[in-house]
Amino acid sequence: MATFTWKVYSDTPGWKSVSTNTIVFSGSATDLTVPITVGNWNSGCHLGTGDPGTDACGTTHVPNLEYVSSTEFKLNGGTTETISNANLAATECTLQILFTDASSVACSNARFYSFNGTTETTEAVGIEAYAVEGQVAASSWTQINDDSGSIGGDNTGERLSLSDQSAATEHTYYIAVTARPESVGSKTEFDFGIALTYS
Amino acid sequence: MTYERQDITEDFYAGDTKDIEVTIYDQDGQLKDLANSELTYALIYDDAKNPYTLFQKTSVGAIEIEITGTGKCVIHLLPGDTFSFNGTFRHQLHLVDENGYAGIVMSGKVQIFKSFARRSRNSGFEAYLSGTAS
Repeated sequence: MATFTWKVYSDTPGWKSVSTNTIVFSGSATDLTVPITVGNWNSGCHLGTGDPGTDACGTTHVPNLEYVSSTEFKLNGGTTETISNANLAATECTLQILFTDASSVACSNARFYSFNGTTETTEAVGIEAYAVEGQVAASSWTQINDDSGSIGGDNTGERLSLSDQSAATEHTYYIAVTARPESVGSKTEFDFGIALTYS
Repeated sequence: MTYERQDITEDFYAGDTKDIEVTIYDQDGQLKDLANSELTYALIYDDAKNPYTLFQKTSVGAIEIEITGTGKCVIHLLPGDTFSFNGTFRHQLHLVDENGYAGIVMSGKVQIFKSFARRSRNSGFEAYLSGTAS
């Protein structure tokens, strides 16, 4: 039986299953209830028990990655860095997604996307978001959502393609994500998805 | 004794579970005693310029190659071994017997057809943010 497990690097810190929580982008490194000024990128990233609910990060908050340019980011409000394996460590990525199977399987055509929480091919509402896969020598962000431009969902050219992985019983994908609101108000029609084929 | 042109040209699609049964004879034409032997199987990409090994299987410490009787073995290919392959490859089986005799005992071509019918899985996870006026 193949299963996905979504994790964030927080609390002790360590990789912690997100369980039924929500990934919350906020305007504060320590307070998930602080909204983001329209046009600005996230300055905090948290696990919340709802929309946003209460903070479930534990002792250490989820690493916050902020878009600076197509090839640059800021980690936790620090200095601007260029996207690379060295600068963006696995434990600095927003998400670790594990795909496991009892048998040794190879994965291909894997992709990460954002959607409205209902239809996989429809973009999240009121959001602009970028993502990059960590630890695969990527050097630039990929835009995965722009509601105002009708970009997003599990559609070619509107999602992040993930690297193929050879046969193993466990596959690990590290994903960095940054997001900003395109309008005032709560954005609840906003989910992330991963899809792949395997044998 | 090497058996050349042990080709697989049909019915092999990328990602198939495949058991390749091989019979090995000694130089007298008798079934080879494989006790304490080491068998190594390799699938090779060969464009006649820069051939290289795609993967290997061994009879040592694993069940990748199973010795099933005198002169007989089965090479077990798993779905992940050939998942991304498409085209014509070469394969070889190498033997070292308990007396130290070493040699390629089987060689041939393998035609692997592209597989389009593959399992797919997806998963979703809720996200949230809130916007405020500047």
